[in-house]
Amino acid sequence: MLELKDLRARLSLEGAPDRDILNGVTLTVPAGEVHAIMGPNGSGKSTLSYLLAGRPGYEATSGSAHFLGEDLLALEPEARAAKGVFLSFQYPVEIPGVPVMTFVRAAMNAQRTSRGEAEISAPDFLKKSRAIAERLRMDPDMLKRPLNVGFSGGEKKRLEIYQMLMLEPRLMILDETDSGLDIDALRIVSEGVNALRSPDRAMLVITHYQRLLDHIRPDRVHVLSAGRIIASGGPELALRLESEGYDALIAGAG
Amino acid sequence: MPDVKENIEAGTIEAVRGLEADRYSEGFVTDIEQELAPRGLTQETVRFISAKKEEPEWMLRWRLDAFERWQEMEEPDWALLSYPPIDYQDAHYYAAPKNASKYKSIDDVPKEILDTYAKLGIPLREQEVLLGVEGAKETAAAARETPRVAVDAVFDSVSVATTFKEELARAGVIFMSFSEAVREHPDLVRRYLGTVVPPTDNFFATLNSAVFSDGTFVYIPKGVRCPMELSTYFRMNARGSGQFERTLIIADEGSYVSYLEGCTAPMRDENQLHAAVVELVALEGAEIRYSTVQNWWPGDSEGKGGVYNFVTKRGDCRGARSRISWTQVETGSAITWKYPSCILRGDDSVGEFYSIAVTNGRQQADTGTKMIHLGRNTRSRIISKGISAGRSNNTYRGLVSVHPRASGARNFTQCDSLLIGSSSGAHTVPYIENRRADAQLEHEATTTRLSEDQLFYARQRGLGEEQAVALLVNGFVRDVIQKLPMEFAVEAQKLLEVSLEGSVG
Amino acid sequence: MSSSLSASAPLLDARSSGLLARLEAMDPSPSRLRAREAFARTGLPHRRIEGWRWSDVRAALSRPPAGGATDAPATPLAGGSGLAFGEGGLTAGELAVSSWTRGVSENEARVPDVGALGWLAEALALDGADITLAPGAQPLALVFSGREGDRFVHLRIRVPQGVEAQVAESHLSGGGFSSVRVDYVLEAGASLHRSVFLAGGAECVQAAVASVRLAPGARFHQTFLSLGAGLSRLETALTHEGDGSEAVLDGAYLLGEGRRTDVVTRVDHLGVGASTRQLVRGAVKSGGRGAFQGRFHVARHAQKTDARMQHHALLLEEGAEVNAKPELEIYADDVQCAHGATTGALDEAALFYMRQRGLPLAQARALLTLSFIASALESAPSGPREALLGEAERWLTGA
Repeated sequence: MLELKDLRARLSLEGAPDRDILNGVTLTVPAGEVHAIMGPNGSGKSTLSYLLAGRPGYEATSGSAHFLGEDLLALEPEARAAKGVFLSFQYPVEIPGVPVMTFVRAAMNAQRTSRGEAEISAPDFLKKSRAIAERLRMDPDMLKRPLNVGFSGGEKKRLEIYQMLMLEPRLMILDETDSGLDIDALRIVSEGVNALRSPDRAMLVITHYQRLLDHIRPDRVHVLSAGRIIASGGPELALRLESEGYDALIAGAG
Repeated sequence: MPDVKENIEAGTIEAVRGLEADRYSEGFVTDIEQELAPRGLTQETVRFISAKKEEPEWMLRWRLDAFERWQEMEEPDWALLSYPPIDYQDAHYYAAPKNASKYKSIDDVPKEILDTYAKLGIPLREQEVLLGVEGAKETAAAARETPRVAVDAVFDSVSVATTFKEELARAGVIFMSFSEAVREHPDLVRRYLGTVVPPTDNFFATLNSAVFSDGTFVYIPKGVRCPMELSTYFRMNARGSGQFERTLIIADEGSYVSYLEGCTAPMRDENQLHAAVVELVALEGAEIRYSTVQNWWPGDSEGKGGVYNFVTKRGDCRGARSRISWTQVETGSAITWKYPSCILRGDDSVGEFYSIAVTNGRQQADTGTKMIHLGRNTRSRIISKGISAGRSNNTYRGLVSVHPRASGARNFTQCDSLLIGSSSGAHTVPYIENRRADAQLEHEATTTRLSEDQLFYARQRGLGEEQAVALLVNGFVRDVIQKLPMEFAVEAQKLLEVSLEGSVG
Repeated sequence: MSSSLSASAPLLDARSSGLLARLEAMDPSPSRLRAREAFARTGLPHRRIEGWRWSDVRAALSRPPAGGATDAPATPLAGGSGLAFGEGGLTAGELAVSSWTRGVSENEARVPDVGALGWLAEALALDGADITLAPGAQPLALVFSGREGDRFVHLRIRVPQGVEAQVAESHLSGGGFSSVRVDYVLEAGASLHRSVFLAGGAECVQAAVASVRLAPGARFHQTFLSLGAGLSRLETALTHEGDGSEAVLDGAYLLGEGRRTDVVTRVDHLGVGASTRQLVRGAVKSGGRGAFQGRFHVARHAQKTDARMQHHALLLEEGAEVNAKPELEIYADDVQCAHGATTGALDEAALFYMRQRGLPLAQARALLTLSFIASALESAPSGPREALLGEAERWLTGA
């Protein structure tokens, strides 16, 4: 479903020198599978997620990224979203003045329009929103407030999953979704994520720690270091990392 | 806390009465034989000054052209300042100790003048120099290394001594009086003079261009980090005279210099005019830090006397990645009209302005900065702290301008005003002009008074009211004080305390 | 601050002299004569006069018209009853509850300085009205339009003690030169919401000048939306004459190619414990130019003043220009005064976030921009609020 071949990337942001941050990533995520990307800070995990979502300034210098056979890198961010790419942000952005519901409905309808589907009716939208909010045990008032403004770290993460459940994407990229969550919230959020697991969806779970993977069981685990995948394996790889640490593995990979 | 409030108001009244001689310790007169230009300002005056300085013909031409233009110009009236019309014909445009231009070495300088500077805390004999400025002794004792400061001492219209010249010359640094530089380095002077502040820039700068007397010339060669702080100490002494100094600092590629400037004048019941021009040029990768502690005689409590300080200071970040930083502590002068500015021409250049302006008694200050963003990714930062006490008025006036080519420009401005007592005024007049969508400009300003709650809190813990005020004011100006070279920071802090003495109960 | 030209008698340009000559032909009242003298001090203002740096009326009027004048470029704000002024003066009028007379009677009280274009409107007003809003009066709608020539109108609106009222002004010139002056007088405890909508043709010079006098305890809320004009100036001179009055001076501007707006306010605090809140937001596209000039003046005895000024602008594209001069002039010490001003581009992180969720770039920009300016329109009362937000949204989406 998602195919990355020798993907290299450079970060060019205004006011900072260009920096190489991915040094040849090759990865295939078949439909129905959940893959975890683990790695120490600065290994390029977030870069990978931004690159796949199309954040301006993150530029692939060589290699390719295909989603459902289509060249992902050639698409605008909103076109990728319409194809079903959803990035749960590590740091969700605050947008003052735009209430959550207004925003999600605008996004949903834009995606639908782009796919040639009819817009969702207001009652249907409300019904769906209410059900999902309930499932994530969110205070309904939260959905009337401006997007992420004044939300706690945990509330923001929960709201990301709310949006994911509303938009029903095909490829879900979870960037450090567990940070800022307490144990109960982690469980609720993971249940939400797991509900979306299906044979025609794929998922990339980016995390520093093993604990999220206790709740969202990966099919494969990849270890990213210095912009390169240095090890891949089953769920047991994550457990090994937890007990031995990254250093041993990185040293071993030489 | 009604009693606190009453104390403050009573204190304000005290302050108005209290701005007297004992608080301006620099107010003495040096008795020395003078040489004066005849009163008045004509072409002849300009020729007289030029001849006194034994200037080449091109310099005289330059002055005369400026004088011609000046006669057609009008004095600006847009500042929030009020003062009676200045009679430009009623002053001596040149005043110097007799034979000053003949001093060959420090040994020729009359004892009265050496004593004057010693009394001001500026020893001019190198072996006596522990520090450029006194008052920092305690701090210096604590510091392992004794910082050294080279001094150019300007007494009325002439430079009387310049210290550490030889040592600096060994590093390739030219540090001398402006008059000497015109004679010894005419090529450098001609190449840069008037390129930052054109001779017809504004009324006061043009006046200066015609009659400037002395000042300091600095050239730091490529890649040289100036081995010590450089400074100029300006002293106005003669009755009925003005001071019109000219300073030109050039930092060549990759060089660095930190320069300090101090000013004082005797207490006189007349108004003395001071119209200086300072030009800074920073070439590629160079950095200039320019600090001023301005303590001209502010006049008495009724507003009699005091220096009229009309100054044009501008720095040109001409090369890429150059940096100019202005730091000023303005406590003196009856009138201050002064906007040290940066032209950010080179890509990635940086301009900074840190200012503390204190007005008390009947003082009026209209001061601030201009940051002109011309190059790409240029950055500027403005921190201004105004303190108004007594019956004074204190205005911040600034311009931040982003031109269409200045992609990625950034500015942050913070202007805070503090009012002490209810008879003073605090004003903020910023101009912001942005013609780049990718530029980011932020401006914040606040006006508050010394908090009664904080004062009470400090007093409850045992501080005297004066101490409490000093503590709070120090907190208020902290961001800027920290930007001063250490030996100046101590003096500045002391100066603030003295300036505000008696402003509360 | 006095201008460099006001000290001596200026040389008036031909257009200014022509305007003054017109008054000679009339039989001027003392008020008009006073206004004429005030105008003659500068004539038509230009950029060298302090306060007119970013709205050079003289230059704008010296450009020959290119024949692009249009009829009213937008729909006026609605009201329960109202007056409409066009090229020939009053064109329609019906005021149900309020009392009014055509023309403005002699000004007995101290007259606030409303700037050169305000004086010009008073001196040369072709038409006007003196209105007293009665208790229970319907929202009053005032519409000013026209497509050529010069149009000057002078109104006075009184809000008597304790009365709560609403006025909606629409300034919709398609061309020519217009200046409308409205003097608002709020008596003790009175309350007025003033909504102002300005949209002018690319060639027109349009000024909406108001003086506002607040008696003790009066409340004045102003909300404007300006879509600019060839040159558009919204000038408000507000005085807290007594204690405890309250002013809100909000609004937004949205400017496209060839449109300019200069939003100018001067607030004088003379009484104790009065408050002023000002939030102005703007967004400008390529070829547009916005300016904000705000000034709070707090007099020596106006202790406990609480005054906050905010101006925030977005430059949506290269080629846009925004200028600001947020001024404080404070002579009292026991006050809380602050201002903040920012200019910049839309937040890139927010834009990406929205696009990641599937919003097309244009829609994301429009939504972000609308949410950016909306908070400056929310102080308007229900009715005008929705109308102004609707106009803003139409402008942003190009609908």
